[in-house]
Amino acid sequence: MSVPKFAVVGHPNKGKSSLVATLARDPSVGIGPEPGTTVCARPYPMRLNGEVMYVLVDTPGFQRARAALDWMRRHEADAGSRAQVVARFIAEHAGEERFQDECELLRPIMEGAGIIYVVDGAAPYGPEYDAEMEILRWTGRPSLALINPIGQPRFVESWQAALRQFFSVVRVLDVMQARFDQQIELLRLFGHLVDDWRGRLDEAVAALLDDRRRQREDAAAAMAEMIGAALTHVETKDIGHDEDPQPHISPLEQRYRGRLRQLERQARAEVESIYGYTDLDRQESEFDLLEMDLLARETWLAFGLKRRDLVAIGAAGGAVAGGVIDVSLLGASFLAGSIVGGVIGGALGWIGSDKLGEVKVLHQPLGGKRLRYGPTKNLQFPFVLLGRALLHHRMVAIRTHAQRGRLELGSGTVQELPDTVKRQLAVHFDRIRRAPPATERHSTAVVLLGQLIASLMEPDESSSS
Amino acid sequence: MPERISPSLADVIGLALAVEHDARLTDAARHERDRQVLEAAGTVESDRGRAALAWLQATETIAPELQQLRQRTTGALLGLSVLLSLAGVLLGTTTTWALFTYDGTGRVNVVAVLAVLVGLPTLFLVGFLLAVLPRRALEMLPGLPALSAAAQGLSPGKLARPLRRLLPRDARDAIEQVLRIWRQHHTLYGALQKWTILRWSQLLAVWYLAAALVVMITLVVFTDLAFGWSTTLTSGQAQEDARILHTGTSAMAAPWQWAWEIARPSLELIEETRYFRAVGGRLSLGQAARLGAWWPFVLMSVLTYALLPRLLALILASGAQQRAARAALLETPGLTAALRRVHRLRIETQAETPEIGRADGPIMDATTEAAPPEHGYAAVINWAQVPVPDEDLRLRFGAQAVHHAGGARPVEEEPAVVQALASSSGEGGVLVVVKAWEPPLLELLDFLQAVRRELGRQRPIVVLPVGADDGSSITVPRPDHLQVWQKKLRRLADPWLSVSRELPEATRP
Repeated sequence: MSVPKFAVVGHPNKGKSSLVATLARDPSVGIGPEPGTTVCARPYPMRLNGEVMYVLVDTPGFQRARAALDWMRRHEADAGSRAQVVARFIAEHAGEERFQDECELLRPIMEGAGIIYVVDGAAPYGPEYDAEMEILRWTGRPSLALINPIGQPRFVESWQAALRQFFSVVRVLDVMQARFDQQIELLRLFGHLVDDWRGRLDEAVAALLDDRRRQREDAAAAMAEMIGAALTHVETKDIGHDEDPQPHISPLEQRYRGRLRQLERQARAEVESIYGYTDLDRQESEFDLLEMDLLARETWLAFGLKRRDLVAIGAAGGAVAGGVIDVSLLGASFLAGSIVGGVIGGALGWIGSDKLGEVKVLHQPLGGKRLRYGPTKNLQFPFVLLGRALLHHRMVAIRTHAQRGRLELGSGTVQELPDTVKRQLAVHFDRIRRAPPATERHSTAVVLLGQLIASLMEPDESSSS
Repeated sequence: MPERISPSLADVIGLALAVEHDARLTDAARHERDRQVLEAAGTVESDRGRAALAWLQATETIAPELQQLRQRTTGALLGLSVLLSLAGVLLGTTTTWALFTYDGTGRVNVVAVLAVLVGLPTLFLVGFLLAVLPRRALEMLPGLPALSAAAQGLSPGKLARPLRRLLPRDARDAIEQVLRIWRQHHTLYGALQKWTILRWSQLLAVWYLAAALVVMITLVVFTDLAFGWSTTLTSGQAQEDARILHTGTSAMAAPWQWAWEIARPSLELIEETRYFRAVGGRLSLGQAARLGAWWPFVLMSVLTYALLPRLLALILASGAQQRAARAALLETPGLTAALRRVHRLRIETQAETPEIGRADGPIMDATTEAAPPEHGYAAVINWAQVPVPDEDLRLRFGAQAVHHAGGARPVEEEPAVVQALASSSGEGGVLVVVKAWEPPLLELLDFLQAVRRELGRQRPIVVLPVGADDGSSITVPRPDHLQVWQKKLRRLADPWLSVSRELPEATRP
C-alpha cells in the first residue's frame, strides 16, 4: 500500500498554508499577507508510532501559470501525453528562477500526490485561475477543490460553478476556523480520492480521534489537578513567639493568592501544550478569591511537634510516673497515681509548649506562632475555577494552528451546568477537600474529578461558538 | 500482570531533579529532547511507573549530569545508612559495656540489663507502632494522633540530619538536594520522608541490639559475669518476690524453653541470685558459678523481645518506604506533563524540515502613494479582466487607449500590448488597473518590467489596485490589500513606478 500524499496547491495567499497548519497542527507554518511566503514544497508527514500514514505537502502558489501553460501547449502532442508534458516541463525548468514556483508545486504531484486545490470564497472568481486549473487537469492526478472563504463567503456559488468544470469533488471549509470534526471529515474525503489510500487514511483518522479523546482526558486531568491543588493549598509563616503577626498577614495573603493564580496559569499552559500550543499569547483576567479572611493562628514547635503532641507526651509521661507509684502500692491506689500523673503531665505539656517556644538553641527558637492562610472553604470557588478552565479549554480546543493572534478569553462564557452535574461536582470537590493532600484518597478524588470534567467536555467538541 | 516497579529513594529524587531540569529547557530544546527520549525509551510504557523510570533513564542518557547526580544520591543515602548503623553499633557497644561492667564488688543487675536492652527498645517499638498506625486507626482514639506525631518527631532516624555532616562534600550536596526536594513538596513527599526516617530508626536499633548481643556474648565467653537481680519494689517477702519474678521470667522464656531449657531461670536460681546491697559477704565458688547462669535467659530475651521485633520492624519499614517511593514517583510534580508530551509524540503531524524563506531584494525606500502624472495617462491597461468597462476607464482617467493583458489572455499577446504602449504619443504615464484582492503575481511584475524597458526611464507607470465589493463594479481598495501591493512593488526598485489609491469619478469631456 502506497503512502497517501496530498499537495496543497493554488493561487498565492488563498489559504494553502493555513490549511496545512490546521491539518498538521503545526505552528511553524509560515502564514503571511504577502504573496509568496511559501517558497519550497514542504512535506508534513503524519506519523503513527514512527510509520508515515500520509503526507501533506505545502507548496508555493502559481506565479506564472499562463506562461507555463503556454509552454506546455506548445509541446503537447496529444491529450494522452499531457501528463508527460507536465513532467517534461518540470525536468526542463528545474533550477530556473522563472518557473521555480511552478516546478516546486508540480513536482510532488507528478511524484504521485493527490491535488488539493484551494481558492478564496470571499473573493470573486476570475479567469486568471483558468490556466492553473488547466495545468492541474493536465497532470491527470486525483484532485479535490476546497473553497476557503477568507472573510464573508459571498462568492462561493460562482466558485463552485467554475471549479466543477475542473474538479469532481468541491468542498467549502473555512480552514482558519475548521473544527476538529470538519478536519477529520476532510481527511476522510482525501481517502476517497484513491481507493488504495483509504485504509491508511482510515487508520490515521482513528488514531487522530483517539488522540483527540486523550487530549480531552489529559486536559481534564490537568484541570482536576489544578483544582485539587487550589482547594487544599495553604500558605504558612512561622514567626517568633512575641512577634507582631500584623506585618506578615498581607504578604501571606498575597502569596496565597499568587500561588492560586500560578496554579491556574500552569494548568492553562499545560492544556495549551496538550493541544500543541506553546508560548500562546493569552489575554486573560484574574479571578477573585470571593472571600477575604482565611487566616488562622496556631503555635508551632521544633521537630514538627505541635502543642497537642506535647500535651500527649506530658500526659503519657505523667501517667507512667504515676503508674510507678501505683505499682509500688501494689494497686492499692486504684490507678489514682496514673490518672493524677497524666493530668498533671498534660497540663505541664500545655504550659510548657509556650515556654518551649521561647527557648533558643544556637540562636534558633524552639517554637513560636504559625500563621496559616487557607485553604479556601468557599463552596463557589471551585466552580469558578472550573468554569474558567472549561472556557479556556474550549477556546484552545476550537483554535486551529493557522490562527496566529492572541487567545482572547475575556469574551467567552461557558454553558450553565445542569443541577445534577453541579451536585456531582460538589461531591467531588468535598472529597478533595476532606482528603489530606498527597494521599491515595486525595489522588483518587482528583482522578475521579478529572473523569467527570472529561465527560463535561463532550458537548463542547463540536461547538465553535 | 506485570511485575511492580521498585524505585529507590534515589530514583524518586533523581526523577524530581530531572523534571526540574526539564522545566528549565526551552520549548524547542524540550521537544527535541522528548523525541530523543521516545527513541531511547522505545514505545512509552502504558504502566505509569515503568514509563516514569523509562523516561528518567532516557533523560539521563541524554543528560549524563543527571545520572551522576542520581548515582551520588544513591551513594550518599548508602553512606548515611552506614553512618546510622555505625552509630547504632557504637551506642549498643558502649551501653552494653556499661551495663555489664563488673569489677567483682557487685552484680550485673538483670533488671537493669532487661530494662535497657529490652524495656527501652520495646518502648521505642511502641513509638514506632504508633507512628505507623494508619490515620483511620489513629482517629479512633483521642490523643493517638498526637502520640503518633510525637513518636515520629522523636524518631532516632532523625539523627541522620546531623550525621550527614560527616559525609564527603559531594555526598553532602546530594543529601542537601534530597532535603530541598522534600522541603519544596513536603506534603507530596511526606509519607516517603516519614518511612525513610522510620526505616533509618529501625536500622539504627537493629545495629544497636546486634552490637549489644555481640558485646554480651563476648563478655560471657571471655569474662566471669556475675548476674543478680535487685529492686526496691518489693512485697517484703523474699520468697514471694522470687515467685513473682519466676512467673514473669517463665512467661518470657515460653517461646524458647522447649528448645533451650537452661535459658529459663529456675526458682532456685532466682532465689539464690537476689542480692541486697545492704547485705554484703563473700560467695563460695559454687555460689559464684551459679551467678552466671542468667546469661542464656538475658541473651534470649534481648534476641526475642528486642532484636527480632526490630528486624521485623525494619522489614516493615523498608516495604512501606518502597511503597511510599513508588507512590511519590508516580506523583512527581511535572511528570504527568512530561509523559504526556512524550506520548503525544506517538502521533506526529508536523514538518520535519524548517521552512525556507524567499530571498527577496531590499524594499526600496521611496514614496509609494502616487499623484496623477503631470501629463496625464497616455494609456490604461486592464490587467486580468478587472470588472470595469473600457469606456469607464477612459472617462475616469482621460486616457486615449485602453489595453487588456493578463487573466485569460494568452501570454503571447503581451509583447504587442507593450509595443502599443511604447508607440503611444506624448509624455503621459501608463496606468495599470489591477484587482486589489488578488496578490501581485510575478507574471504581472514581468509585464511591468517589460513595459518599463519599452517606455524607457522617467515615464511614469502607476499601478491602481481596485476593489470590487459586488464583483461587478470597482471601488477604492481595502487598506490591507493596498499595503500588500505597495510592499511588493517597492521590491522592483523602480523610482517611476508607483501605487495609486485614487479612483476619480468618471467625467465626460
